[in-house]
Amino acid sequence: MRRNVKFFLYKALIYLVTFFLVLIVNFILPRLAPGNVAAIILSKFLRGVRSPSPLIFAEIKQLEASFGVLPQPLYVQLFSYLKGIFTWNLGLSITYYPEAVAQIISSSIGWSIAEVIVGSIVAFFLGNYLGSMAGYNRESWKDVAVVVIFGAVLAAVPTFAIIMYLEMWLSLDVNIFTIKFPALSSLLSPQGIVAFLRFYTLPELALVLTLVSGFALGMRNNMMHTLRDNYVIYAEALGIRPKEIMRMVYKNSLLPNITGFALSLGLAISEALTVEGLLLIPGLGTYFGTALGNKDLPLFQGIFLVVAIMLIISIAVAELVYGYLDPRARLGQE
Amino acid sequence: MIEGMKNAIWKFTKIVLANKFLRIGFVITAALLTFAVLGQFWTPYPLSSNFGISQGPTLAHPLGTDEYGEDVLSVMMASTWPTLEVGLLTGALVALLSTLIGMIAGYYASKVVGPVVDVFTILMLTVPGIILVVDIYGYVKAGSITPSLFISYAVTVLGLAITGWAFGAAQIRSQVLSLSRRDYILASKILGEKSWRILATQVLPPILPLAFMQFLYGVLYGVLSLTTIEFWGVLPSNLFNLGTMLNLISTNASYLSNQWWWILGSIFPILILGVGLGFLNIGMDEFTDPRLKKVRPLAQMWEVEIPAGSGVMRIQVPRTPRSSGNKARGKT
Repeated sequence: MRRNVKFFLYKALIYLVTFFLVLIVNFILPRLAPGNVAAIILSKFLRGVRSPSPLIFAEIKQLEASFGVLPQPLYVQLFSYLKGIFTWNLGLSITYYPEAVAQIISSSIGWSIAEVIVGSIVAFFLGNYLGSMAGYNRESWKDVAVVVIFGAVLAAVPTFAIIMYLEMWLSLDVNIFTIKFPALSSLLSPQGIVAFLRFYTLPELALVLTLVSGFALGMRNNMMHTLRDNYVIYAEALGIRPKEIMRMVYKNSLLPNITGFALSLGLAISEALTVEGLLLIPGLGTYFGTALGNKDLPLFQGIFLVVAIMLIISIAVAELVYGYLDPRARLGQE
Repeated sequence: MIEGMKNAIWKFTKIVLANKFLRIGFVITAALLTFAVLGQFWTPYPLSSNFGISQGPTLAHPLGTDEYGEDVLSVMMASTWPTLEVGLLTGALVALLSTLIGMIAGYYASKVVGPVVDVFTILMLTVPGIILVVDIYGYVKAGSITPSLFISYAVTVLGLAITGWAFGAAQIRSQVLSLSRRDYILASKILGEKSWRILATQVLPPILPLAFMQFLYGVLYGVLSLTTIEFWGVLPSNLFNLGTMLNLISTNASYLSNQWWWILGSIFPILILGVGLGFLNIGMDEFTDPRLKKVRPLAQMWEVEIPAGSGVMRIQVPRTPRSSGNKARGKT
């Protein structure tokens, strides 16, 4: 028991340190950029503003904090930057002035989270199924098909290329799905739900096809290793049906793939942003694209930060779950 | 030295030729590389010449023309090598970093090195390389600076490699951790062998296949990341790679007007790369885990019928040693 507590405390400490390092990376990046980034934002900002108001003074103060507009010592800048983050004040967006970055992010993050979570879960089960099939029939045509198509080809083709083909074929040619984001006002009616599903299926499918590779390869690997374990040979010698053995091996191979789940989230969010940017889903991706196009530094600094924090939390949760499910992960540490 | 190199190359070729999947994978990958290098020197048509906008595939233009009237096949050939270059360099750096860090963290598993590596592993897992590189270029673009071709690719490769080593390092680390508790390494330690020599001569060889796998994943990761980064259009526009093509397709919304040939042209080399690396991946299995090696018996097998119950049962028995086996054949 004491060992468990020690393990969890150690992990909590590691994640806390990582969290602060992420904040510092986000703080340093704009300061390392060549050219006078701060002056550019300030001029852009002042150009976009017609009449001065108390809001602007507050904003300039926040810009100072985030990008070091005024020549203050670094530690003062760092302090006000951290203060801004902990009070959930990430400055005002330049493109969507006078909307706050924090507000834009909170209103759009739900779409991205939903897309990533649904896509990852579907990919997790699909990948596990494909991977177990491949690992069980090693070097058969099934194995080759899974590894080559799902493991390698789809792992290298970007999601937005997959979705272009899917939309071209299934929305524009065959007209089963729609490409236009449906009006959210009618979402609660049955027609609204159908319209939403007709839109939402393809982006999810494209994301699943990209994410499936990690799970399929991981599962195949685990499966091949577990199949060589002594208990499997013993079960075979006892004459247990192959189907039954496969189920046993599947369950045991599933476990290490839970860490794979957390690891794939970074890729999932990166690819989900491009899908959102391409199809103009009102998630983080669309705002990310606008921010990059308009040099809206506060907005994309904020999005970068939020994405990184989301990933820390999910990796921490995955490790916690894994540590709970697999005692070897907890106890093997010492 | 040269003799040793020759031996190593010979051994390597023998291993590759012995495995069907490695053979296929190497042939496909080599063919793609040849094609990519060829595209740097020769393309069927000169680039940026107009053949009519958005024409479908014809015999003269097997992949049609794009919205700028260029021959898609020519653009594809010219763009393949830069894409592969980023992929290969990222793969090499990812393999190098993950092997080095994994070995050091596994071998010197002390109270200081452990937590430091833990923190950096988690940090690199949480910062997605794609978004990091896009972010860096966002700031560069905001500063109204156009970096040179070399710097653009260098920053991309470095950004991807620095954020890409963590998963592989964790795998290699756990391998090295169990390796460094084996008797032969403990014996070397007790004999007073220097630790860098133990690492180089006794720990490295068994994990080389795993390092090669990191290279394979790194290449796929590099290509996927480069094309995804290009989607955001923050990299300088003078780069010629497959991601630039895809970016033009998405900014011109060409997928809405059913120009499948242009998209095909921009992902075809990636598809071939995927097929090649997929075969290599299957072929590498028996090297990453020796338990998966198919063992062919040295002796030839010999089928014998033995009476069992009312019928006969056929079993295989080895014919050892070979000389006596020959004798046995002579007798029958």
